[in-house]
This record gives sequence, C-alpha cells and structure tokens, in this order.
Amino acid sequence: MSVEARTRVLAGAYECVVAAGTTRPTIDEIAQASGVSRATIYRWFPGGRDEVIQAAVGWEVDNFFVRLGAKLGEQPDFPSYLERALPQARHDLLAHAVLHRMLATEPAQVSTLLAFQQEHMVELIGLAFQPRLERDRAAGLLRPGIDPAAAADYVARLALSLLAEPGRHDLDDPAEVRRLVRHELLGGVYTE
Amino acid sequence: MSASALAEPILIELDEQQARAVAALLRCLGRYGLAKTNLDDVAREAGCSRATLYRWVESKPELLRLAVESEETRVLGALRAAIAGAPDLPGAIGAGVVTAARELAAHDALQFLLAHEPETVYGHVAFAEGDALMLQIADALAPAFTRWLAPDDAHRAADWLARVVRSYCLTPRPVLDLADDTVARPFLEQFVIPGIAGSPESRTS
Repeated sequence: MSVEARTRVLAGAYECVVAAGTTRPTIDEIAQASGVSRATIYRWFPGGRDEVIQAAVGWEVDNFFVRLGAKLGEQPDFPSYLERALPQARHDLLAHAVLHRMLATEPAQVSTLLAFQQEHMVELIGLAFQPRLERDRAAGLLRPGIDPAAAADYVARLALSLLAEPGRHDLDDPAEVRRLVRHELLGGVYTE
Repeated sequence: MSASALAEPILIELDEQQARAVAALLRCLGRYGLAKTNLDDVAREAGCSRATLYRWVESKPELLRLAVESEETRVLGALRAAIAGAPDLPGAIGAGVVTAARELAAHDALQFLLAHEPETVYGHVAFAEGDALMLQIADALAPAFTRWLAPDDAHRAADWLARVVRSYCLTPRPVLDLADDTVARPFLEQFVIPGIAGSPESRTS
C-alpha cells in the first residue's frame, strides 16, 4: 500500500470519526469511506480500529499545525514569531468545529486521544521552533549554555498548555502575550 | 499570609467515616481500576458491611467525587506547606514542582487509571475541565507565593507551576522525572525559575 493510500485511510477514518464519533466507526465503515480493503487497513494498522482512529487524530493534528504554520510567515526573531503564533493557534483551535463538537459529546475520549498525541505535537512544534532558536543563538540573543533543542521542547510543551487551557491568560491581548513570551516562556532562554 | 489561612482546608474536609470509605476506594482503584471496582469491593476493603457503607456515602459517583476533592485538598495542602517552607522564591518553585511530581508519581490510584483507564483522567485535566482545574490549583497556591510576589505575580507563578506539572507529569509516557531532585532542579533553574522570578522589579521585598 502506497503512502498515498495510507493517507486515504486516515482521511476516511477521520471522516468516519467526524460523522459518528470516536467509538463507533468499524473497520468496514473506514474501509468503505477510504476505498481500500479491510485487509489493507490491517496490514498498515495491525492494532485495528483503535490504532486507525488514533492515527487519524494524529493526521488531523498534523494538518492543524501545517495550516497554522502557513499562516504565520517570517518574523525577525523567535520571540516575535511566538507572539504571533500563540493568538493565531488559539484562534484556529477555537474555530475547529469538529474538535468542539466532539468535546461536547465525548470529552473523555477526545481528550485521551489528544493526550496520546502530546509527544507527536511537541515534536512537530519543536521542529518549527528549533531552527528559529538556532538562528537567534547565532545572533547572540540566547543566554549562554542554552540548548536550542531543549528550549524548543520546553516552549512547545508550555505553549500547548496555553493553547488548550489558557486559564486567565488572554491570548488575544498583545500585552499579555508579550509578557508570557518574554517572561514565563522565554525568560530563561533569552538574554534580557 | 498567616499560618491559620494555610491550615484551612481548600475544597473539602471529610468526616472519619467518609475518610475510611475514600481510603478504601483509593486502594481498590490502585489495584483494579474504576470500572472493576464496585461498592461491595469498597465495603470489603473498608472492613464494613455494604449497608454500613451506604449510610456513609450514597453512591459510587458520590464516593469518587469525595475521593477526588479530598485528594486534591490533601495534595494542595502539601504543596502549600512545601512552598511556605522554602527560603526563597526559586526554592519555593522547586519545592512546589518536585512535591507535586512526587505526590502524583506515588499516587497508586491515579497511576493505575492513567495506565489502564486513561479516559477516566484526561477528560478532567484537558480543555474546559482542565482549565477550571488549573484555575482552582492556581487560586489555592497563589497565597503561598505572596511572601515574595505581588498578588498578580503570585497568581501567575502558581498558574505556571500547575502548567509545568500538568505538562510533564500527567502524560501517557514519562517526559522528565520531576520527582527526582537531580533532574528537576537544573531544568527548573534553566527554564522555569527565570521566567517567574527573573525580573527583580516584580518582587515585593
């Protein structure tokens, strides 16, 4: 099965999840939606239904961050990039109708599926953050001894936390976002 | 803040019988999980009859609610004490994070549920419910930071501490063992403490 066919399975499975929730789609329904055989699905996803659905959620997570990245554009440095990324990401998350419909109907299942995507998300976001941190390090903006990969990992985790559970932090308020970025998120990474 | 304010219960105080039922439930959860535990098991574990147990708590969901709230109260109390006992702000952040990580790691019921019935946990610690929980934690811990920080900054510090622990400790796979001092301290000193305590103008003293 080609990578393209694998993507068809993920898109088909996601379609089924959108239509019926995370617990109901069967392998037969996923096979029908994606136009491949049951056997083919099991060859790629030996864990069956649960594995396909977990992968389909991961696929939509990828799409979410790819769409987000395309909107952000370049900024002079990573703190400025992050100041743009946080409100945009929050905006996109709030606009994700499928996520919100599923959080309303099966919050425990959806939160769990996404919890199992956390490492994947941290890796994805870290890949966007790390080169920008490396550039700023070369420009002498980072504190001595900071490893860009470790910093990217920390900032990615806490940015995800702010994205999903902003609490009293208003990510639409530029002054608040600036404070979060320059203090809580990057206070230990950048020189003052 | 005064010592008496620190001693006040945060969410709930159980009577002796409720406490016995909650302790029995937590032992059952740590062994069998939520779905396979019924009130008969809890009664057996508590060493009382089913009828007696029903006089103490009206249902399994009610007992579970008491368990969650009393455990949250207990852990938040331990965190406030750890923060209050620290000599300075960096020490308080370190003590808060490491104590929280240890409480979570040593919690057999929570760890069993995370490993075997994760959907019983994650729905309560993510998105809207997670937001509410984190606010509750930040509100409970903020007063302990007012020794070093203005009220608004104390709340931000407590919020950040809750986020760090949530992001690193309540995950399907271990990320960084913040219960281990030798792992936690360098990480906190590099990334977390400067973000909270970094600007000296934000300190009250």
